[in-house]
Amino acid sequence: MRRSTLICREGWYYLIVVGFVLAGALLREINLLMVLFGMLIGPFLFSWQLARLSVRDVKVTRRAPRQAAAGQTISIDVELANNKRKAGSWAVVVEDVVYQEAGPEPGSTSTARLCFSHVAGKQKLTRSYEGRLASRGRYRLGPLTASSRFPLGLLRHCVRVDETSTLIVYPRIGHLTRRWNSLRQEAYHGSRQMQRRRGLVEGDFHGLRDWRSGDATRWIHWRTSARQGELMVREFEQHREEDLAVLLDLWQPASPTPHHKQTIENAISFAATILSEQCRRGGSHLLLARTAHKPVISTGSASLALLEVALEGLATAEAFDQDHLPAMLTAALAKVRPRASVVLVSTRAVDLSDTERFVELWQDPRLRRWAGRVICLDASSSDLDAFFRLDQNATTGLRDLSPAETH
Amino acid sequence: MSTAAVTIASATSPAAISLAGPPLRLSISLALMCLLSTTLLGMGQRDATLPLLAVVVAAASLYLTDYRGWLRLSPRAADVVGVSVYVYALWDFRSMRSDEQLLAMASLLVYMQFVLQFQYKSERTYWLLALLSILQAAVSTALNLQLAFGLLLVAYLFVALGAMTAFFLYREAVDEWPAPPHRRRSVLDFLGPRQPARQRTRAASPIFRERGMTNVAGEIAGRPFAHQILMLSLGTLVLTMVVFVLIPRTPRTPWQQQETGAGLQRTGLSDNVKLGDFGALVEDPASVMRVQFFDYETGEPYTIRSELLFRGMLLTHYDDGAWAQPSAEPDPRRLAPYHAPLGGELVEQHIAIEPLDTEVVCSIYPFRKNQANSQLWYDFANHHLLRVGDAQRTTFSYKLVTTGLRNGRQLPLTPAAGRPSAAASRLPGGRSGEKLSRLRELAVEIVDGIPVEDAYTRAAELEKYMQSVERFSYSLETDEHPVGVDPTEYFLLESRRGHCQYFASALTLMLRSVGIPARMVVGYRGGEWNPIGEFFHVRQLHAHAWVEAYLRPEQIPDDLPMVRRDVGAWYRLDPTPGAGQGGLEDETSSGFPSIQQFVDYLQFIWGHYVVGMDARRQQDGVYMPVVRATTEVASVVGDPQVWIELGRYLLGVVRPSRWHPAGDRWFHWRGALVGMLLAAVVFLSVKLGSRWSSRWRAWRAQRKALRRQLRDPRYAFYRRMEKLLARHRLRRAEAQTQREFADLVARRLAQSGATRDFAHVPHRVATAFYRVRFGDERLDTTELQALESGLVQLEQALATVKNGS
Repeated sequence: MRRSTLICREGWYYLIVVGFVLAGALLREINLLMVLFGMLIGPFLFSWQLARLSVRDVKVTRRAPRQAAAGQTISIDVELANNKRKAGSWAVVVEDVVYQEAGPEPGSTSTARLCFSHVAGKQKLTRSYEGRLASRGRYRLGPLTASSRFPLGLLRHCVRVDETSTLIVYPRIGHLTRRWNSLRQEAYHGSRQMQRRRGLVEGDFHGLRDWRSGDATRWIHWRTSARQGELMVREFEQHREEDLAVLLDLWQPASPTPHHKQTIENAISFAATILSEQCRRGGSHLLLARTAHKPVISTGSASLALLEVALEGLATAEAFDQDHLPAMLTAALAKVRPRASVVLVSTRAVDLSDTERFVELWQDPRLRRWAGRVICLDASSSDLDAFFRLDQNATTGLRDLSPAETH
Repeated sequence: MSTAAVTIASATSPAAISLAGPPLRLSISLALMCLLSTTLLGMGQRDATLPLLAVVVAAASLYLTDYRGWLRLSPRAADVVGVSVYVYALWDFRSMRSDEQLLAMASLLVYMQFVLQFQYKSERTYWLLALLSILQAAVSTALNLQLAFGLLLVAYLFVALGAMTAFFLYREAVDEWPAPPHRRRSVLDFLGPRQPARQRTRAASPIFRERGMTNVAGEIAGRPFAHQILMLSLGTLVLTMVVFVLIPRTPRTPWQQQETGAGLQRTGLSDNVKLGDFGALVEDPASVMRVQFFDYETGEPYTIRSELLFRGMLLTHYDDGAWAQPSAEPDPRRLAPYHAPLGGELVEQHIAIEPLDTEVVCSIYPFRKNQANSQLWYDFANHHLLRVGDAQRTTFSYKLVTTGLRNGRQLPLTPAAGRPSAAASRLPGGRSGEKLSRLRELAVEIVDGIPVEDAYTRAAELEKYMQSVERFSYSLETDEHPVGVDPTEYFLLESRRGHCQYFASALTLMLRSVGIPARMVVGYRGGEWNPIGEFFHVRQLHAHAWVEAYLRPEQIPDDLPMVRRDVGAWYRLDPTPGAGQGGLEDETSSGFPSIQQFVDYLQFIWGHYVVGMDARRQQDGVYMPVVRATTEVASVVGDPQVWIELGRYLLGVVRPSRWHPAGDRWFHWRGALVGMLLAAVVFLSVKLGSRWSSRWRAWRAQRKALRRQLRDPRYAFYRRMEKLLARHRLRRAEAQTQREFADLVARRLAQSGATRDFAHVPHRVATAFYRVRFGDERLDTTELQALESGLVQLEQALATVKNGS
C-alpha cells in the first residue's frame, strides 16, 4: 500500500490567491487582510489532514467476474469499508485500472472511477461500475487507488493498493449460419462411407456433469447426486462423426493494417463460435490448434472445461508475421481423429497443394491423406461471412461464474 | 499506453448518470456566500444599497434562474451585460479619488457577480462566483474596522466553507456537469445560444461508468456534513488566530498605510476651540480610549472610586468665544522615562486611544513616563502629551504612572511646574477686562467678602455659583448671541443655558477677573466601567471641559491632599451642573455585566488585538510572553534541584506506607490513583511500543524482501535495463509498475529517430521480467541472449543520442 499527497490544480490556484492576500496583508500591514489570510490558509492546511483522514483505515475490495466476452457488459463491485471508529470517510474516489496484459492491443488501459461521498465510521458501502471491453485479451484489474480531496478539492491524498486480479475477455462469439451446417453435413456425408460405428454409445467415461433434460437415467451417478443434492450424470467421451478439428492460422504482415487486425479478430471469433457451438451441443471430440512459435493445441471432448481452456487461449492469441502454418498443420493433424472434420481458418489464402511449403505434410503418408479433406477458409476474404455473423450482445456460452473477490 | 482497443466499446447506461441539474441547496449556499461577501463590502462602503440589492438579486436568481429556469442569460447576453457594467464602472472610475476608486472596483465585483447569478450555474460559473466572493471579502478588509465586520467575517467563513465543500462534493460525485434542462426560448436568448457551449467531462470517452450516483443533495443536508463543516470552521478559526498573532509585523514603511475606510474621528481637542464645538460630540458614542489602572508596586488592578477627568489640552488664550493654546509655537520633545521616586500613591495607567483628528492624547495628571515609547512626546510649550508619527492613525497604546490618585479618587490639586504664564491671568481687553465688564462685576460680587488671599475659597465660591441648577441649565442647544456681545458673557448673564464649554469658559474668565490665574482644560470625563475587561471605556460623548485655577503654595489649604506643598498647584474646578464628584462604587463593583458591556469588551479586544495589532504590540503581547515563558520553563527544566525535589515528592507519594496510613485499611485513594496511573502508563507504553515495533518490523521485512528480490540472479536482465536507463535519467518511480515504466520509456524512445527502432526493447524486457517474476518461468539461454542483445543495441543508441546532444 503506497500513500502520497499531491496539491491539485485547484490547490495551486488557491495558493496563488492566498499568496496575493498574504502579500497584500504584509506589504500594507492590513490586519484584517491577515485575518482573511488565516481564514484562507486554514482550510488548505486542514484539507491535508482531512484528505488523509478520509482514506486512512479504509479497505477497498473489488468483486469482479473472472471472465467475460468481448462486447459483453460487465459489472464490477467495489466495496469501501471504513474501519475508523468514528470519523467518516468523505469524498473517497476509488479508481480501478483495467490494463490489457495480453491480447491484440497489449498495454491499452482504461480507468474506472467510483465516488463514495460519505462512509460513516465502521460502515461499508458498495458501489459498482460497468462497461464493455471491446477487445478480447487478458486484463489486469488494478491497482486500486483510493483517494480523497475532501473538503475543497485542493489536496489529494492517495492510497494505492497493489493487489490485482485478472479478467479474461473471450473473443466475440457470433452465430453460425445454415451454410455452416450445410458445410459440416457435406463434409460428414463425404466421409461417411469410410466410417464405421464402433464401441459403446456412451464411449469412455470422461467425468461428471449436471443433469440436463433428455439425459438417460442410466447415466445418473447416484452416489454423487446424493452427495451434491442434485442430479449428476456421467459424461462419456464419445467417438462420433461430429468430431471436429479447427486449425487457426493467425498470420499478419510485419506492418499490419487495421484490416489485417480485423481479419485476425474475425478468424478468432469464428473459431470461438464454432467451439462454443460444439461444446454447447456436446457429444463430439474437438481439437483446436493455432499457430505460434510452438503450435498451441487443445483437444478433448466437447465440454465447458475444454471451451474455457480454448477460449482463454483464443483470448490471448497473437498473430505472427512468420509462417508457422506448416509446423502447426503437422503437429495438429497428427492428433486429429481419423473421422473428424478438419477446418483450417486462415487470415490469408492457403494452398495445401504447395508441396514445397507443406513438405512434411506431403512426405508423411499418415498426414498426406488429410490434405484433401481439410476445409480451408480464408478470413481475409468474404469466406466467413457466409458461415457466421457477430452478435453485439454475445456471451461466452459458459455458465455465469460468481464474481471472484479480490483486493 | 494507447486506449485504442478499449475505446471501441460505447459507454453504458447513460440514464444512470442523467441529472436534473445541480441541487438547489448548492445554489442556495453559494447565493448566501455571495450575499454575505457583498454585505461585507457594503459595510465598508457604509452604504446599504449594494447589500439590499444583493438580497433581491440572490432571491430572484434562486427562484427565476436556478429553481424555475425562467430567466437565464445566455453566455453571449451575459458577456454584453458584463461589458456594459465594466464600461459604466470605468466611466465612473475616471472622475474619482483614489479611495473612491477602490470602492468603485469593489462595486464592479458585485455587478459582475449579479450578472453571473442570472446565468445557468455551470461548474465554471460556480468557480467564478466563489472567486468573486473571496475577492469581495478581501477588498472589504481594507474598508472596515468594526467589530460587526469581524463577526460577519466569521459567519462568512462558515457559510463559504459549507458552500465550497458542498460544491466540491457535488463536483466529485458527477462524471459530467449536467447540462441545463430544455426550456422554451425566451427573449433573453436573442443574443446567443441557450446554454453554455461546453460542460466539463471527466473523461473524453469513458469505458466504465459508475452505476447510479451518490445522493449528494442528501449528504449535504445531513448532520454529518453539518458537523464536519462546523468542526472545519472552528478549526480554521483557531488556526486563523494562531496565524494572525504569529505573522511577524514589521515597523511601518512607506508601503504601509492605514485602512482607507478608517477615517479619523473628530474631537474637541484641537489647537483652537470655539464655543459650541462640543455640541455634536457629546452625543457621539464612538469609542475614544480605554483606560486601565494598576497599582504600580504590586501590578494588581487599581480600584477607582470617583469619576475621573482625563486631561487633554490646556487653553489659555480667549477672544470672542474662541480659546487657543498657550503658545502658537509648540515645543514637542521626546519624553525620557523618569525613574526617580515620585512619592505618594503610584498608579499605572494603561491607555489605548483610537485614531483621532488630533495628536493630543489624554492622561490623568500629573504623570511620569516609566517606559520607553518613542511615539509619546510632550509639548513643553502647551503642556500636553502628543503621539507622533503615524501613531495618530492607529490605536495607540501607552503607559504612564500618575500620582494624581489617592484611595481611588482623583486629587483636586495638580502640582504646578512653575509659576503660571501671564496668559493664564489675561482677560480680553486688558487687565481691566473692558470687554467683559459685566462678567467681572458679577465675579466680584460673588466673591465679595472673601479675602483676596483666600484664592481657594474664592474659586470654590465661583464654582458653586456656576453649578447652581437654579441659575443655569445644561443644554446642547445654545442661543445665538447678539453681534458685539461676548458669547461667554451672553451665556453667563443672558441665556444662562449651555454646555460644559460655556460653563468652563465663564468660570475661567471669572476667576481671572478676580485675580486668580486660571485656564480651561479640555479632555474627557468619566467613561463607562467595563467589568469584563476591567477598563474605563471613554467615548466621544464623554468629551468635557473644565477649569484649573492656580493656587500659590501658601494658598493651598492644609486639608487638601497634595504630594508636594513646596510648589504651587492647579486646583481643578468643574462648573458644569451635574458634573463632579459622583462616586463609582456601584459601577465598579462586580455585578453581572450587561450586554452592552460585553459588546464593549469585544470591541476593545477587536480594536486592540486585531485591528490595532502592530509590531510593538505583537512584541509586547505575543513574542515577549512566549520568550519569558520559554526561558522560565528552560530554567526550571535545567535546574537539577527542581528534579531532585520532584523526585522526592513522587517517591513520597508512591511510598506504600503512605497508601495505608491507617494500617488496617485495604484501600486508599492515593494508592489507587498511583496504581491506576502506573497501569495507564504501562498500558500506553506497551501499546505504543508494540505498534511502533510492528511497524518497524514490517518496514524492515519489506526492505529485506525488496533487496532479496533485486539480488535474485533471475532478474539480472531487468536490473541491467533499469541501470542502463538510469544512466540516461530514466528512473522508475516508486509508484510505477515495471510495465508502466517500460511503456513510458518506449514513448520517450519513440520520440527520437536514433532510438525509435529500440522502443520495443523495454517492453520485451518487462514482459520477460513479468514471466519470470509472476509466472515463475525460467528464460532459456536464447531468450536471455536476445534480451541482452536488445539491451546492448539500446545502450548504443542512447549513447549516440547523448554524444550527439
